Order: sequence, then C-alpha cells, then structure tokens
Amino acid sequence: MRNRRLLVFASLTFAWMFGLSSERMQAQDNAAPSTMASIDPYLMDRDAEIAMARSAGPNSISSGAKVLVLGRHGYETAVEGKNDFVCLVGRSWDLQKNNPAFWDPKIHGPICLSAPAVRSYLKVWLKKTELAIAGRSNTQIEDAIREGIAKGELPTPEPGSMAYMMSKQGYLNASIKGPWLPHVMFYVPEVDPKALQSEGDDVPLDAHEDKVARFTVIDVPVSKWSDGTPAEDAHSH
Amino acid sequence: MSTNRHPIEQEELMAYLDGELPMDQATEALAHMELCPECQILAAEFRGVSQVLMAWEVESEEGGIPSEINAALGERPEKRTAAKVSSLRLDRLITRRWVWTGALAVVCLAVGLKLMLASRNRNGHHSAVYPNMVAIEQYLSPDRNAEIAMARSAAPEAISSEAKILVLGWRGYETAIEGQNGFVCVVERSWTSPFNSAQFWNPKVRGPVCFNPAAARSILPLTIKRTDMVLAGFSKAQMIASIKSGFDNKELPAPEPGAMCYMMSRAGYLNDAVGHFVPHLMFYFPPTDKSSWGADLPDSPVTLNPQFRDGPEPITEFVIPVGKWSDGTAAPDM
Repeated sequence: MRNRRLLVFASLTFAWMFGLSSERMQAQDNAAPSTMASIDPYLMDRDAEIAMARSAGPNSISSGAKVLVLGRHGYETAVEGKNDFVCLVGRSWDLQKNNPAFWDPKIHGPICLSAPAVRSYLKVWLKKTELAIAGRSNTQIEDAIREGIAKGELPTPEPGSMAYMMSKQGYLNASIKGPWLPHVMFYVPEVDPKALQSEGDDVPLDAHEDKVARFTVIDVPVSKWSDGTPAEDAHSH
Repeated sequence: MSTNRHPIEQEELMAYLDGELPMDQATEALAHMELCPECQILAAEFRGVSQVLMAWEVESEEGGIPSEINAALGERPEKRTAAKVSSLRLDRLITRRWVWTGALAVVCLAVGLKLMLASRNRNGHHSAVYPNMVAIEQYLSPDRNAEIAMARSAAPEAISSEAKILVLGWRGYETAIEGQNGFVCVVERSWTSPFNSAQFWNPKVRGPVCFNPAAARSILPLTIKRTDMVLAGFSKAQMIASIKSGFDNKELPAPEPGAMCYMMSRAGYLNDAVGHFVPHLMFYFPPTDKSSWGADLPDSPVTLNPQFRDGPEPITEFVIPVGKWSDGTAAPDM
C-alpha cells in the first residue's frame, strides 16, 4: 500500500473530491492562470457527458440517478432521477487553489453522490462552479467557500455522505492521466487522517482533510470498475 | 408439499461457498444465512461433502483394485490370478471399469442422499444449532498469546502493532497490551451476532477486529457491554432491554463520525456458513437506509452488515471487501 500511496501522493496533482490539503501541493504553487479564460474547453458532448457521469457508479445505482451536465451557465439537469443519487462529471476547480491544474480542462471526475452528499457536498461544488463561470479567481473561489461555510450559508457534509468513483473513463490528474482506481468515498466531519493510520503499510484506505470545506474524506479502493471488470491492481499498489 | 422459503437456491448456495457468486448475490446469500439456521446446516453439509470429495483420490492403476471393493464384489484376487494369461489384461480392464463405475455410483448416491437430507433440514426440519450458551470455557482461548496474535491479525501490522489489545477472560475483556495509536484490537465472540442469529451461542466463533479511535470510543463499548451481560447470565431479552435503556439514557454512545474497523484476519471464524469470510472494512453510522448508499445493489461494492439490523443498537454498519488479508496475501475475489 505504501507504494500505491507514494504513487498517488506524488502524482495527485489532481485532488478531485479528495480535499488534499497537503503542504506538498501548496509548495508547488501556481503557474496556472487565476481565472477561467472561457467555458468552452470544459464543455462536452451532452450524451457523452451523461454516459461518463453514469459510469461513476454501478448500473444498479447510476441508471436511476439524476444526471447533471455542465452547461454554459453551470450544471443543469440532463436526466431526472428516481433513486436520490446524483451523477455528474466534475471539473478541475475543485482543486486546492494553488494547484497548477486548477483550470486544466482535461480533468474529468465522474462521480455519483448519495442523497446526503447531494444535500450537502454538492451545494458546495455547485457554488464553486457558479463562481468559476462568473470569472472568479481560484483564490476568490476558495475564500468564498470558506466564508460561506463559516456563515452557515454553505453546508458541511451531512452524516452518511458518500460517493462512488468507479469509472474507467475519468481523468483525475495530469500525472496518472486516467481514473486512478475505482473507489468508494465517505465524507465525514473533520477527522484527523492520522487517526485512521491511512499512511501505514498495507492499510487499504486513504484519508485526506479539506480544511476549506471542513471535512475529511476517506476513500477505499474496490476491486472492480463500475462495468464489472476487475481492477487488477486495486489493492496491490 | 414443500415450498421453498429461502431467497437463494441450493445451487446458488454451493456457488457461494465456492466463491463463484457475484458480489450482490453473495451478499444476499450471506445476509440470509446469518439468520437462517437451516441454511447454515446445509452450508456445513456442503462443506463436508466438498471436503470428502476433495479428499477422495483415485488410486493409480498400479495399485490394483482395493481389497475392500474386491471383497464387496465377492471376487477373490487369487481367482483372478488363476485366469488365462491371454485374457487377463482385458478381464482386468473390464473389471476395473465396472468396479470404478460402481464405486463412483455409490459415492454419488451417498452424496445425493446427504444433500437430500440436508435439503429437508433446510426447509424446516431442523432446530437451531446453538440454542443456548455452553460452558464459558468453550468461549475462552486456552492460550492468551494466541488470542493476542489473533486480535492483531485483524489489521495490517502498521496499525495493530501499536494498538491496544484486549483478551477475553473469565470476568470479561481485559487489557493484555496497552496501545499507542488509539486503535483497539479484540477477538469478538458469537454474542456480537444479531440476537436472532442461529450462531449467537456458537462457541467456535472468533471475530478478530481492530477498531479505530472513533469506533473504540463508540462501538467497542457495545461489545464489552454484551460480553459483560453474557458473563453475568443475562437472558437475551434482558440484554436487549438493557441495551435499549443504555441508548435511551445516553449511557451508550452513538457512532462517532469516522467510526470504522478492520476485519482482515484470515484466522477468524465468523460463523459456520462463511468461515473467515473475506477481508473487509466496516463503517458505522447512525440508522441509515441502505438504499441511500446503494448498498446490496448489483455490482455495488458496499453491503449492509446484518450485525445490528433489527437489533436494539441504533447503528447501521456498511461493509466494503478489500483485496488482501492483513498479512498481505491476496483474498478470494467476491
């Protein structure tokens, strides 16, 4: 697991939904632009985006989920859902503000959020998207989220907030150029990752704290992609 | 007239025991077996038959026909050796084919009868396997060091080597080794099963588990409370009432955020149906509808653990299998 962790830690320029708070990330500091130049590079073919969003979860979940796609004015509902899950393809502006990939249009993070996560975490994500499209800088976005949570205008994750990221199609960071590993994520209030011993050898989970949005995310690699094919090295890295 | 009141067919149960069922069906099978004594008996029968068949080896031709079979067929070896040399090889070949065919038929008949009887048991012709608590000695480990080692085997060494270790003694769990990282490892016994589980008093059950600090504070107290009540001679009804009261009075804690545990030991024995099961992590939450997590749906890697289902503890427990045992060896695919 240490090898996997080193690989991930070294390569996760993209911290999609992980809330990486690593000082290492911050030390990279940015050569990235401070605002979005245009929404165009981030837009996808609508059907392809729906399919990618759904690939985040097993068909038994995503086929009944509401699907959001990114439009010129923010995320919009492409397919109404029946099971309270919401699937979407995340973009780069969920990264830490100093991440060089903060505006990288190649980044796509398919994710299916549970109902508690939809009621809480998704609101933060949609707010970030709104600010990004409105031309706010990475610093302004982060400050607004921190302030919104402090004022109670934005929620921290509800108990039971979790998500599936089991798509083969994702592009989570520029280093691994792909989807990393299929995994399930749990959002909990601020818990010290050290209390989960996630950095230990052979420990089958990772944990990261997002100090801006004030939660800790625990991600557990699982053995199969959403299409049922095995992720051979899901537990061997 | 017989009606099948089980959600899994016998063939599926066999496939489950062979590790050949898809995750969703395996989960359904496990959840059902946890509460179905007939199915546990059937699973044990299947395992027994499987072991017999695995142990049954066809001897090499050079070894000749076993004397028991010759005797059973009324043939004496000396008669065969007296036969004409020219027909000897053909006779022996034909005879062996018949003998082996007959022997195979006998084995198949025996297996069939066993399965038929097991099937009858499964459909309501059998009572619970472990109806009552047996002598406490049977739940205790005769070797304290072995229990410490088993407890530690629940998690990777990076965690368990610095964890606090509890072992079960005559008066309950006691600290065997003080910890340094906030984790607590312990070998649970059968009474942490659901109260309506047929395994509730199974003295063979050993569930090695390492609780993280949040679970050590909020879930471990339930294990200790149940154990203390069992050793004090409480009935199930008394235990249930006491646990309910404990939660009502806030004497027992709700699951803390982030409460989870490791169950990655290959040394465990979780019940007669699943043996040591597969390595997995468990996450504890206040009562949560499993559908809100997509648990137990086809191809979902998340399953609902029946441990607290319909029980007095207001807790929902989700399970995620992982790919390796705590010793780093690969686990069977589920």
